[in-house]
Amino acid sequence: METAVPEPGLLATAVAPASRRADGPPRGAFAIEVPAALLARARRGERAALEQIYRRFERPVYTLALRICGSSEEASDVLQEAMLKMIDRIGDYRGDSPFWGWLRQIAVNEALMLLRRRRRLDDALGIEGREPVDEAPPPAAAADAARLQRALAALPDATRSVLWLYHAEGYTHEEIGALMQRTPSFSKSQLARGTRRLRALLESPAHPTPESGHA
Amino acid sequence: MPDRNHHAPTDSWHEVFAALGHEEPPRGGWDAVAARLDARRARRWRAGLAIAAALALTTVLPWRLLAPGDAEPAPSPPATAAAPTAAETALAPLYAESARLEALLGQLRDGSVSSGAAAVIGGELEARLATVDMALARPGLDPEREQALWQQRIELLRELVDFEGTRLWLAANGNRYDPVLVQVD
Repeated sequence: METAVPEPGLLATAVAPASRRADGPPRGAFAIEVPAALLARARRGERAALEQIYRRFERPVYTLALRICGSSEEASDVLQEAMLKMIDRIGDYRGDSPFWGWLRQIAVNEALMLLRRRRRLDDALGIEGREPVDEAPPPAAAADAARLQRALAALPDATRSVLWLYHAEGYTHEEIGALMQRTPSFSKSQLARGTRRLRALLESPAHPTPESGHA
Repeated sequence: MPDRNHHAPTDSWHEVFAALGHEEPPRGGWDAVAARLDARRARRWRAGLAIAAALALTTVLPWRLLAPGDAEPAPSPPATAAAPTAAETALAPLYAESARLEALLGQLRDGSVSSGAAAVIGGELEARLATVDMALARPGLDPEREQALWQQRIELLRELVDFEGTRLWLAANGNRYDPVLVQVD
């Protein structure tokens, strides 16, 4: 079980220090260790150390932002803002949890804030009653990266964000609900419905038709 | 594009999402961040400079205004407030214009309408401004050079005001700075 990651951003009080999902993928490609000496130099404001940290994390931050926001331009904006916040707040990082988790939280906040500012967090699949959980393994088509990316892009922004945060980043429903300023039930239902929609898009013989103009 | 028939069925959504791998961000990201850090530093330095200039004006100018034609002989100004020279008199309106443009810039700036390309352009102007400020901070500047630097600073601030104003106007109309650049090219 991994230590809960403290929230460094705007939603500092919103996310309870919940445990990672027992079945979840807690680390992922974001999990890059940073030497303590490098962190210490960065905390002193050494430009070269900050640049090294930037270089280590620019791809994971950009990728996370791209998966949530759906456009490279927006992902670039999120990358820049998240890194500036990291630099501003690195003095607050206490070191009692992995640095990558702390930075990832900043990046998630920035990406979701961008969607919120543009009124796109309301863009979610409609819910009709209780949604049964889709526990079947992904279809074989999901191994086709280009096809998977098209299918993800066809989902509404909020739904895609929930899927990515849950499946790829290992956030709990409680955490996702808090991050999105919604309830855990919202996260659960979006996950259930979104996973089924993603499966349908992947199993469709034709290329998926975009349902959201933003993605 | 990989042939999906050649892949074994995957066990979990986490695996297929993780298999997408990392995307490559556009180049120059660190340069843009570094430019914004420099710009912030320069702004802090300029704020100090503006306060110093304002203090100088409040102490030097009253002496300047009172000295000629007073019924009673004006007391000698303190050693730190020497009689204004022609160069100082010429600099006063430049200080004022610089402060006015800084204030205007502060009102125009809106981080919520930022974009990568716009930040790079804004950062470039800020970096040029920082260079001018560094030159102004050097001791022993001759008055003509100082006046030229302040003039240059004002021109850069005007460019920044134009740039931020355009960006804000575009944002208010649902556009971003980047497409405009593409159209110009």
